[in-house]
Amino acid sequence: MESCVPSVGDHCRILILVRQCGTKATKNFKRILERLNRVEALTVSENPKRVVIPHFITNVRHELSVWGEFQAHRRILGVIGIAFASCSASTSSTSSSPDEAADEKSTASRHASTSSYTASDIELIAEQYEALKAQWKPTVLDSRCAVFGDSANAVKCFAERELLAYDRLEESDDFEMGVRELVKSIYWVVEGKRLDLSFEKLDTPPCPLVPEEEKYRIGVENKASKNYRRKCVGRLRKQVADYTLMTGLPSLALEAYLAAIELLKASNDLLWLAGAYEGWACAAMATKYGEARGDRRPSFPRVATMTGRQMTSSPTSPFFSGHIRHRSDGQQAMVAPSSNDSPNTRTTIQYLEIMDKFRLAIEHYERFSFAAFVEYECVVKASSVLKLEHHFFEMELFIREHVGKYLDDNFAIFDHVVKSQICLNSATIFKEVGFKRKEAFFSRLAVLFRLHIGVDDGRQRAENDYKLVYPVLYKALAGYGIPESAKDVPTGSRKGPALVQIRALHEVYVSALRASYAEAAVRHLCFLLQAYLDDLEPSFAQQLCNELVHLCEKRGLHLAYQHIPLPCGIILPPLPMSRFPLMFSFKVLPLSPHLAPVVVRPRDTSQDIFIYTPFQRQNKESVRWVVDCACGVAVNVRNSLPFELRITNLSLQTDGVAFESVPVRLDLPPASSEVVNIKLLGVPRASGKVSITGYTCEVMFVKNVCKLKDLPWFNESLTASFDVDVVPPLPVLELHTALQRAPVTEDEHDASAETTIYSGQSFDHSIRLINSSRELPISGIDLELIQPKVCGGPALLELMDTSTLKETLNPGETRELRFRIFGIDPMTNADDNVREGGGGDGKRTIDHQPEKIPYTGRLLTTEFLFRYRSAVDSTTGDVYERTARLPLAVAIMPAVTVADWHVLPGDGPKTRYVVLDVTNSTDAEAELRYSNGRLISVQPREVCRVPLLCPCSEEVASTEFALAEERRSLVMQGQEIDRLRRTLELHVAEHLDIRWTIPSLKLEGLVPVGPLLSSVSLLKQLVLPALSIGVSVNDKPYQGQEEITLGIGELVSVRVELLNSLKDGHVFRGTLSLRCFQEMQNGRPALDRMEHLIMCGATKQPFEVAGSRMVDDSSVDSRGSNDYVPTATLLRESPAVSYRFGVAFRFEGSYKVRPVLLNGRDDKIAAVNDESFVPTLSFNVVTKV
Amino acid sequence: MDRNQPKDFYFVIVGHHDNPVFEMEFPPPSEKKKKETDNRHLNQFIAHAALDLVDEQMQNNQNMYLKIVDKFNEWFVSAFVTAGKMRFLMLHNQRNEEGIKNFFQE
Repeated sequence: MESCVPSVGDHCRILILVRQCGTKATKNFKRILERLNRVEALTVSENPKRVVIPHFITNVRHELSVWGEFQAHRRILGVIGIAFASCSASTSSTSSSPDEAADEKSTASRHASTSSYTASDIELIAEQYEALKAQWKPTVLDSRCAVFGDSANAVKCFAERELLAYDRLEESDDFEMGVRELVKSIYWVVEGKRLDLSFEKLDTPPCPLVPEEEKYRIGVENKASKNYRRKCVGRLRKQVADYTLMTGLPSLALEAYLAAIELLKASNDLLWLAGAYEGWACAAMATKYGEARGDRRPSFPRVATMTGRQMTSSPTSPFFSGHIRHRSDGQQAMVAPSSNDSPNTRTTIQYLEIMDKFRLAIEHYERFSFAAFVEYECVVKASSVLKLEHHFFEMELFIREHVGKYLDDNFAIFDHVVKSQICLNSATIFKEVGFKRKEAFFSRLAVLFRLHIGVDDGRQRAENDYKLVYPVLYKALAGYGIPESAKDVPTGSRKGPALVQIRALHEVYVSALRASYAEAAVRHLCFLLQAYLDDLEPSFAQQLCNELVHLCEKRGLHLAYQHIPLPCGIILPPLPMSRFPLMFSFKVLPLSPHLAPVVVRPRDTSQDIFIYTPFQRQNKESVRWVVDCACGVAVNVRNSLPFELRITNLSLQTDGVAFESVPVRLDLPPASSEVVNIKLLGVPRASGKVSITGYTCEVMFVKNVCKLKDLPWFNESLTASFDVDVVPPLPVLELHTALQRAPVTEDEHDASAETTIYSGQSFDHSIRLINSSRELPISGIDLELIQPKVCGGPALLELMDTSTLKETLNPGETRELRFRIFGIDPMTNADDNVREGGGGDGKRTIDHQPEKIPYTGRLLTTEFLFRYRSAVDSTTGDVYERTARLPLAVAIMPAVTVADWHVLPGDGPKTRYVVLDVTNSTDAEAELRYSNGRLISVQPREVCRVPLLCPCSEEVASTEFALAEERRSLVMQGQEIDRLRRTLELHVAEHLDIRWTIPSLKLEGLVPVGPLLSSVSLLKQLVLPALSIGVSVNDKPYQGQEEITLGIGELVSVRVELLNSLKDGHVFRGTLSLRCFQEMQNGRPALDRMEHLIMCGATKQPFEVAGSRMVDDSSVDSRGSNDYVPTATLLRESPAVSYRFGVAFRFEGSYKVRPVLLNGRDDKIAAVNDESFVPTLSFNVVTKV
Repeated sequence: MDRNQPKDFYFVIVGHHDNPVFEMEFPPPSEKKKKETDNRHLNQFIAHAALDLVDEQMQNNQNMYLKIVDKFNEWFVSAFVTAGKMRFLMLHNQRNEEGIKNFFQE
């Protein structure tokens, strides 16, 4: 169905019929037609400027051509026969795709050049050509036959004047020339007719008649009457006026029409009067708007070759966007005055005058029902005046008022074909003025009329009917605001009139289906579902889906990502059905931790400027995939349909390096808000950059390709997140252990190894390292042990031998790594240890008594972290590292642990007793072995006190702790204290060795003393104080335990020995005295009993104790180096200084006597009193010995 | 026109994207009529096509009430445009200009 809008310009054109002769070659014929359309106006005279314009048609409407007598432009004045070589015709008629057209033309021409007509072919062509001429004999003035192919043969059969023969289509450049010649020759004949005014002088001029005019005349006409003559002359004048207009003299034609009107009015010949009015109006328009000249529209409106997009983008077809109209320049050009015509004629005629004449013409035409179509054409021409004047509203009103009646069901003169044509013409007119909604409406109406034909005829509507209406319906979609591509359909209310749109789309779908354009039907159905699912009624949507499945099932997979070219010239764009299912929240997943590569870039010193930017950070976190290692993208999927949706072959689409997608099959539950999270997997096959561009899937037998950038949630900023670096292949290290493995947490990839151990026990274990890759050796394995920090004693895990890690591990090779697990005291490790201050008390860390908590053991988690890299160097210089983890969960059962400890003075100034309260937490009796074979047994759940004699450390000076605390920052203090602690730990550890055995359970182990060793306060007490004080009673060294029994008044000699252990040469000076007191054992402060004591000799003695002196004062600084080197060898031991006191008691009782150092000036002495263990003598004074 | 035929009205408010914001038929369609969906969607098609004329009229006409802008078969289309360029369309099968004008202006 093509619209054929009658135009004023038609009046100014010479009608030439173009027909094919011989065998049909549609493509070539179309090409010829295009060339003919390019034959522009022919200038036949310069002064006055006259042009004639040919009007080529291929089809003749017989009922109109018979009106040739009435209006000259309806008369077929010329005939052109077109003939092609026969063999090319057969090839071109079979093919249908426009894409093939180009090839075809070349083939056709090749054939044409080689093949020749047979004699019969030529005869057939000549015969048909002659028949054509004969058919239009009465009107045709001249004719041509163009033969493309073998020209030599053709010459024989045709008159030379009428033949345009060419060997090839490509070589027919002067074909247009030939056509121009034809037009010119016709022009001369018409011009002759124009100038022939002999009828004016005739008494009985011939009377031109319209075919059915006789029937409608009432009564008999008096042919001799004046009136009759007037009528005849009037009619003849009108004909001359027609010729005048046709031969390019519109101004002259105006006068001629006026002359005709004068006579016809007088003779009351209303039909011809109407024709004359119409002619006058057309001539007026030609002068006013230059309608006949430059802006010639193509006579063959083959809109089918244009897609909807082309039409909208074409500047000559103004389309609305929203409510804003933009009138194209094309229309402006039409009203712009052309310089050819004299301005006088142009300005004198008002458009209203023209309209008046048209109205008169229409009024008169209305009286003659047989002239209905002529009347209709006149209406359309009249409306074009309003169009050119931009009175679109009035134009619509005019058309509505005058055309509406033809479309009425009761109007029987026109059949439905004509009505349909009228609607189509209206649609075209509305399209030209930009009334796209009206256009859509009338296109649809045209289709309805067209499809009504069958109903009238009683025959079924055939496929061909639908093939005709389909393009009309499809092109009308734009009028309803439906974009060509589904992805351009806006959402929500911006969509427009959804219900109307759905209806229109459904009609297009149905017509495509009935026209046997099944592929197109599927595509329209997909479009409908994709864009309008939200607006469809659920039952209707369900029905459409069923139809879709049903359609595709029969035809096989529909490829929604391909263009569909249709024979009617429409090309349907691809359609990504991104709604079925809805996929969103795409997220590129990093590889699992044990496979993810870490880039180790060689340090580039030139760029080693420390500027922190957030971009650096982002860079670091970007995901990297590894060649040949399965990777994935996480996607949320939702089914928007009310039934279960099966999706098959769902896989990723990528750009960049080779990537193998793994198709997935999904069954989604019926529409709900439930979102299914899936992972789309793939394997990169080469290193480089891969970007995720979209996905493909098959749903309801439709194969879909959706680009991410087409999805509604996508925006440009996300692009980068779908680009993934793929690094070269890397080896995989597997870890195996004999320990039982079980996952500890849900999301952990590596199962933890588990083991249970009693505290103090130790076990040896091993891990097997296997290089499981086939080709790549592993080198540079670094092992990091992540375990609870212990502040003292052996660590939980200890590696036996790490040398095996250094060597390259070849593919498939296995290596063993041995390690030892030691059951540390589960109660304390650095993670939950209270940070102890220097003055901390040993008791603070053991506030939580193990007995008070129901306590079965403690789970400690540790981890082996292997970092390894490929032994094969990459070309880029980047080194990629992988990690392998082996988490190890160690449950530690308490066995024999230290519950509490105290430090008591030892058997001399340089020794201390470390008293441990050892708890047996097991249910069996334990035996403890300590200090060179001493044995003690502990009952289950009992505490036992174990004294351990431990010499004081001389390696650390007591003042060093005080100095450490004076450091500037907490960190430095901590470091320094830790260093001292470690030195002391080494010293003490060997003395605190208690082994336990539980014979009944056959267990044995070591009492973990780690917490002790981590206690700074304990260790501090094991340091030799700056000033050690020793006492002897009656020259017997006092051991600190026994009580000395004395009688009242018995004199004893107490010798106080002072030893300076400082190495910095400090000399202690002060006074020494004794203090006597009584402890009442009642919790109150001791009572001073100096008056009970009799001092013989000095009560106070000044003292001076020099320290050890450096032999060489030069440079040895023991505090500066980390490795504490005992400097004793460099020192000269200074002798102890001793002072004697004579003492006797006055009263009986139990007394304590201790030396007191007094001196306000020396700070260090005060410190000594606090720190050092000042031995206290115990005396039991009795009356009788 | 048959004066006896029942008066039917179809009223629609059209948004800026040609989307119907509010639709109403008067008198309310009976059950039997509801089945004739063909006629009902015809209203929408006519109203949609008339929008071209409403838009054209809006350019040239300062009035809010645009009177009868379109006609198709027995249906007249009257239009009213608000200051916010919302378009009110009324399809009616009998001329009743005053009544419709009053309706719109209320």
